[in-house]
Amino acid sequence: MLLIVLKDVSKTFRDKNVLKNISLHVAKNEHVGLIGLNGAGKTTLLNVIAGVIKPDVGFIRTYGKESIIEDHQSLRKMAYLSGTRSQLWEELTVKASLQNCMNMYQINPQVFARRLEQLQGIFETEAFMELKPGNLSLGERMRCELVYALLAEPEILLLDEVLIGVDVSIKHKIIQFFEADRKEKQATIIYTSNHLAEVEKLCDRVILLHAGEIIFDGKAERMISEFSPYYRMEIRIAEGLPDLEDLPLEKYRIDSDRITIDYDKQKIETTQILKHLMKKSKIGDIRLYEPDLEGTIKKIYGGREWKTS
Amino acid sequence: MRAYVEFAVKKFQDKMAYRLDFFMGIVNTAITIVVYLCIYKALYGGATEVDGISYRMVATSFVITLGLSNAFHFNEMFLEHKIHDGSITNEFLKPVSFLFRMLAENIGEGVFKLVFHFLPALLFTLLHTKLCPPKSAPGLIAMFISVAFGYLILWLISFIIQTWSFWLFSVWGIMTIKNVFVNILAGTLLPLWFMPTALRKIISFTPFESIYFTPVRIYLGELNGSQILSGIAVQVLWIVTLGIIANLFWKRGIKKLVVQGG
Repeated sequence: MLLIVLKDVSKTFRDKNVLKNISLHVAKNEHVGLIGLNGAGKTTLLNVIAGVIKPDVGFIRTYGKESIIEDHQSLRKMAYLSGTRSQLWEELTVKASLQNCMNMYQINPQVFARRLEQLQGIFETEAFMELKPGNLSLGERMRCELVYALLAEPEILLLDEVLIGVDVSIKHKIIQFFEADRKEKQATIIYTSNHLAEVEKLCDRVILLHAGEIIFDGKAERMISEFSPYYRMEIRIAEGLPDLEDLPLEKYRIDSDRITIDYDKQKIETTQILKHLMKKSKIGDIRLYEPDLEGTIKKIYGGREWKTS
Repeated sequence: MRAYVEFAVKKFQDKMAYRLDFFMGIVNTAITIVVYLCIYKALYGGATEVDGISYRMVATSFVITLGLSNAFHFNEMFLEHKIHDGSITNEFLKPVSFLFRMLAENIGEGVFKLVFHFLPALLFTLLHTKLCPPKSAPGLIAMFISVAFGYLILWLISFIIQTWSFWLFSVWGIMTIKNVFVNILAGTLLPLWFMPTALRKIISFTPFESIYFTPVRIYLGELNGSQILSGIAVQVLWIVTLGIIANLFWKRGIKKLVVQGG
């Protein structure tokens, strides 16, 4: 079943083409990662799906509705969580907001209590219940927002940069939660981020947006194997110069005792390079850089002209 | 429906948490009433009646009108702030009507102020000023209904102006002008009995008369039997008319926001 269908959707704000001919289908229980640099149109695309932005041209259906915001039954099955906007009542305690959520989404009080306890356990929000959102830090607030969004067990979950400001330990828990959900196939999730690594863990499918266009739509593994740019290694040599000529490296530079190596994981593994280096020299220090999104975008564009806007 | 009642209850409970605000509200209401009563006592200068209206009737009218207008004061910049900071889109995603949610929360706040600001201030006033008792028990019940309808009229006028913030950068100025109109034309400053006949006639064609003056007249027994019914009917007519206008602006506003993206 297709929950979300977009066909040739375009949107212009003032003079800026924010979305250009976006066509997209999302099936039930699919986990989609929407990635792109700042200003690529990720949030606008989510807004269009959520019905809070109407496209200039094109066809859009979410739950079979052109504008889901006019249909409260469908809205009850969707949660849209954003790192920059709050669903909680600013003037009420978190607890009161959650109770409002129970009433709005018509959750049975027993189910609510059970679900709340479970979510409190995962996101460790117990201590914030009597506080108002304004008294919470960004990360604490985000955890409460997550509890709020997940209480109603939404079928569609739109997550816009939800890991902003969250501690590493909680971030890990959140990722674990969504990974578990992915296995149980309970919700359809669209997740935006500008971190390739985050999306890779959470999603079956990756959509890469660049300047309002979809430039890649497919499996995360495929994107990484085909388009992931080079890894970079920086090494400080303590003793003896290595010979790098016979390794299948993309590029290397030796600068007195420092060596910078760019390599493709398809051709050579990190450990192979290290073994080779250690044969002839002693290593003082190593630093590894994972490929970033910008590099991936550049590689997908390949020989094509590099567009920035 | 239950969700909306809960919104009102939550707001009511939230207000209870502010002790200082609670006491200051009583003091504020009591001072306003006392100051106005003193001014009118001086204006009456010992006379029992002016234009056929006794001091006691004026005092009663003032206590009801000022007490209600203090209690019915709510944040009129709510929608504007939601539009400016962009959080309005999140409100659209809640599976409830934003308009009714706003109304429910404002009512919750209004009921709180009625019970915890107005009632104590009223008791305080009764210590030093004699007021007219209600004319009859049915009249008192009719007055409560009329007060609720009066509130809806006041709320709808405010809401209509709030929706203009979809198009205007700020509605604060218009809101201030509106409040001046309400203060004068609804009889908050000067009871409508003392208005010039011509002005009184004009006011009777506006919704302002229905806000406080109709409940006051029902309470004092100035309106009887069928007059009460027609007074309330006029209120209902205004609620329907203003409701249609409010809905029109609201729908247009949403449409504009969804197309232009805030």
